[in-house]
Amino acid sequence: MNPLLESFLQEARENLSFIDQNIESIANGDIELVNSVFRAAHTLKGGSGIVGFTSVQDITHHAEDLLDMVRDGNLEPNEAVIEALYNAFDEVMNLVEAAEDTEDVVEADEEVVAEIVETLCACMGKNTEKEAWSIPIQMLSDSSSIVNLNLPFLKELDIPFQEAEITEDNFHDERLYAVVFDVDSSCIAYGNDPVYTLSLLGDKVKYVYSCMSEESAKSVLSGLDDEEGLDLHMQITAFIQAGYSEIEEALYNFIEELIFLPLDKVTLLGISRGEVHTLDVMKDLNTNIKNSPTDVNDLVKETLSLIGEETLQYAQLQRFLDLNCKDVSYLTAFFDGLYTGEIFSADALNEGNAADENVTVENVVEDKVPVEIDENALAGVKMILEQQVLQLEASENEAVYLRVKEMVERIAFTLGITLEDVNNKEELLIFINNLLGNKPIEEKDEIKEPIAELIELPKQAELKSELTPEKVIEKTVFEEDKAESKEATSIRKPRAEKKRNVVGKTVKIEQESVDSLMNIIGELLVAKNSLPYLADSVDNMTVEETKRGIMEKYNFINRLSEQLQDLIMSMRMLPITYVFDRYPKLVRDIAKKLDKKVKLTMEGGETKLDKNIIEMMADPMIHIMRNSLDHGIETPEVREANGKSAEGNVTLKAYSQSDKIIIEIKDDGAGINIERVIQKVIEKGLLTMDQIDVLDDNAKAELVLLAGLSTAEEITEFSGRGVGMDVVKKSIEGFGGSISITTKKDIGTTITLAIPVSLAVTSLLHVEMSSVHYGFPMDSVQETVKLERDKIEMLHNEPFIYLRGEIIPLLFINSMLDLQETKDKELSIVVLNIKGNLLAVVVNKFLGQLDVVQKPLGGMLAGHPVCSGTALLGNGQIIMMMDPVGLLAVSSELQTSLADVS
Amino acid sequence: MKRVMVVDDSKTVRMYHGSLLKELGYEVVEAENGMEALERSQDGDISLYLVDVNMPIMDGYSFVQEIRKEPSYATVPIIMITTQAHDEDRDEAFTVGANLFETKPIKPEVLKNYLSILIG
Repeated sequence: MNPLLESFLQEARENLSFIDQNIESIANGDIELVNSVFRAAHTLKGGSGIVGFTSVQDITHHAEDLLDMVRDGNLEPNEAVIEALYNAFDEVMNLVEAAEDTEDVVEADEEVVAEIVETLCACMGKNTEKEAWSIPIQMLSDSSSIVNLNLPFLKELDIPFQEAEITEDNFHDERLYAVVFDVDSSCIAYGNDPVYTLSLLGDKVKYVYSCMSEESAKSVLSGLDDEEGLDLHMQITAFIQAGYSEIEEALYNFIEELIFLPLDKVTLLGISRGEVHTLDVMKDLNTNIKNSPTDVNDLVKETLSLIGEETLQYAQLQRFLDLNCKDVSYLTAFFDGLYTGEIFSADALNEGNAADENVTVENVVEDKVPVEIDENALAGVKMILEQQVLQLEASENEAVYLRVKEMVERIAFTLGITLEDVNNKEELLIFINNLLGNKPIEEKDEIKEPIAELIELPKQAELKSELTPEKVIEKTVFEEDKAESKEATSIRKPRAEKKRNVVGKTVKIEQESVDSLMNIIGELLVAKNSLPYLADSVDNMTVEETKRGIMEKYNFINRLSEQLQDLIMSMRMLPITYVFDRYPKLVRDIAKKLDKKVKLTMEGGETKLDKNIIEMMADPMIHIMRNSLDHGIETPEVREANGKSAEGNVTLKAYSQSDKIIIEIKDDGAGINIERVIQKVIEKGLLTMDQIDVLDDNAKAELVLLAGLSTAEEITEFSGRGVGMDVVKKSIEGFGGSISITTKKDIGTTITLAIPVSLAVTSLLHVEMSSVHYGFPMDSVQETVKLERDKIEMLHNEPFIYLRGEIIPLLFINSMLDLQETKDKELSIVVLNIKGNLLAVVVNKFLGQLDVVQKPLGGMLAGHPVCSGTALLGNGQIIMMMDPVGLLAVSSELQTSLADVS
Repeated sequence: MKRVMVVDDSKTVRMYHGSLLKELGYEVVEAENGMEALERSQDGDISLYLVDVNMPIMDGYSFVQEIRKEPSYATVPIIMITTQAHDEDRDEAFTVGANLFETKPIKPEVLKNYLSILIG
């Protein structure tokens, strides 16, 4: 990805997250806070401008204006305002995410942006100038009548067009064009609505003619051949008063068939003669000249014979021949200008003779030292000087005068001019204005005007370059690219919405971590280098010494790899705010739709979790929150009737507890209706009454976690489709977490998630069974014991052991996995504690404790009942990870089946 | 090599201006806000400043006002660049002592022209 965009996206995420967290609080009247939010929006706007992210720029621009009004106290930050801001920044977030996905700028649907902007503007009390665009459109039966338009007719249209005003000088400005383009069915099918496109130019469009081909009209009218009514072909002629480039930009979609007719007297006359189209001829000429620059004069002469003598182009070409201009590179620009109706003054043509890369400037002052200045730099000079005038005019301050003078001296020096006779502000102003070529009121003719001319020249140069066909081609290519990416986005958008990327793709790392990483790597290199040295000296060492030597190195490297691991783990840790940040908006949205009032409190957002876990947690958490809001919190009326505050409370709390992170989602709502849950469970035949009776209240509440259960009276948009809580449970357990529920009628419900801090490294008890390596996760291993075989007791044909007064079912895993039965007299037994249930498992050999990076089982083995994954041992052998929960399930199955047999 | 300082709280903007300036052959010093810019100005000559208006801790106006008090920086060219292009903002920029006022993002050729004229 382009590093600039990458940096912008990262920054945007930070700013958006800040905005999201604080936007609700701007209603509290904390000016400093409003200011910070404003600044975040402002930074977003600035950045999006730089990376060319127009939609974001558009939205943030208006949001910033709105925040500015709030900041200045001109606008009450009421509900509507906050809502509008929320939606605006939400869309920005979507765009940022889409851009992260595609690694490129993704522009939003124009309508979406327009809608957001409109809402924002409505809050500010502004109209979006979206009043219906109306322009007289006249249908003509045949396009030839347009060509025959004449001056009196144009005058009738009340168009600011007067014969006398058309001079060479004002041809560079906005002018009246007749722009002709074809619209066919494909245009409409691709969504290029010509009327909408024209409306972009607003009241610059003076009049529109459209004429439809006879066939088209017939087919549309009959409606037979064309079910969608799209098979039309018409020609539109719009009279537009604007600059060439402006029109070009607005009518971009029609650029290929766009014809410009500058409506000056001569051109009109040229057209009205009904000859070959003047501008087309000019276009051809231009192409021909590019192909064979040596034959310029011949080509020009040939062209002269094709166009009307009264046309402006004729006059220009004639002048060109008269001057006998030779510089072809300059001429290319001249001809480029010709077919768009640009007029070059005689001076410009003359200059063209002398022109080369740098313009030689004759100095204004007596000594006349020629200075070489880059053409473009002159444009800069002009801009700087203009600002200096503004500064002088705005302030009477002496310091300002001195500063401007200093600046002007600097510029004058660059130009090779000295600042003479400037002793006060007025004289300085005159000097600058003279440089700029603005004649001041008090004529001061000693300072001559050449700079003005000098400055005009590059302006023309700019115009030329703007109109070269290369640029058009480039733009077209770019536009196609954009269209493609737009298409791509529209396809991927639904997916993106479905699974939001909670955390950005980048991880921020503290300088300190990188430094320690460097240190460790350094030490690792030393350790590595010591190995060949050890190998060399083995010849002179005893076996014992060699062993010791290797172990020493092992310990050294082991320590380093442990450090590395810790460090990398810590880098992957992110504060849980990344998940929490999304909830204020979520809660607001849902509460609003459900007509409930909810206050969300969040604690412990700084608690850190592994990045992957944070990502995996986001969706289940949302589900829980939705449940709390939908089923937990009552409507304000019910709450008040029950003597509670109308506003419900939801608290999100995160804290760490040994190697787990605990997340509590607590509401003060109605609590889970246990009777209903039980009723449902029985109805659906998920459990029997006997099984339920032995459970305590919380365990009964936890029945909602069973698959295929929904207790909601009615299914709402947010929850209650019966695939809710069991999915949550599965996904939480999927990454080694657990979920528990406590609830009290009318007091509320607390859902507690216990999440492992990190996924990547698991601590294992390494055992061997029939020469195969297995591992039990350390956190479920309670103890290991060795027992004589005759200590095994049988109860209903089931083996079990007594251990410190507890009866623990015993599992011969070998028989289960079809491995060789153990023959040892003394049994090695692992006692597992699986959420309070004890299970003893017989193994062959204990091999010790091991830290491994676990890989899930894939392919056919995925979903294996008792194995949850694999890891690699140091010697390359594979170790299978046992899943204690699976083992427990298998053991109880075995027991039931045994019981059935007996 | 001439040193140019880019003062902006947005990393993206600093990167953008920084890379433009580096391409033009200037040494670039970056600062995240006015306070940092003041501190970093102590290190050595800055030939030109590109200053954002809206920044936390110390905004662009205050910074320009402060830096103008330093005798060695009283006349150094300062270009203020912002996304707010209201006339009041420009007036304020000039009042505190900026030489030029531009809207973000500044076009590369405009920046190039300014620099070649102002500091060569």
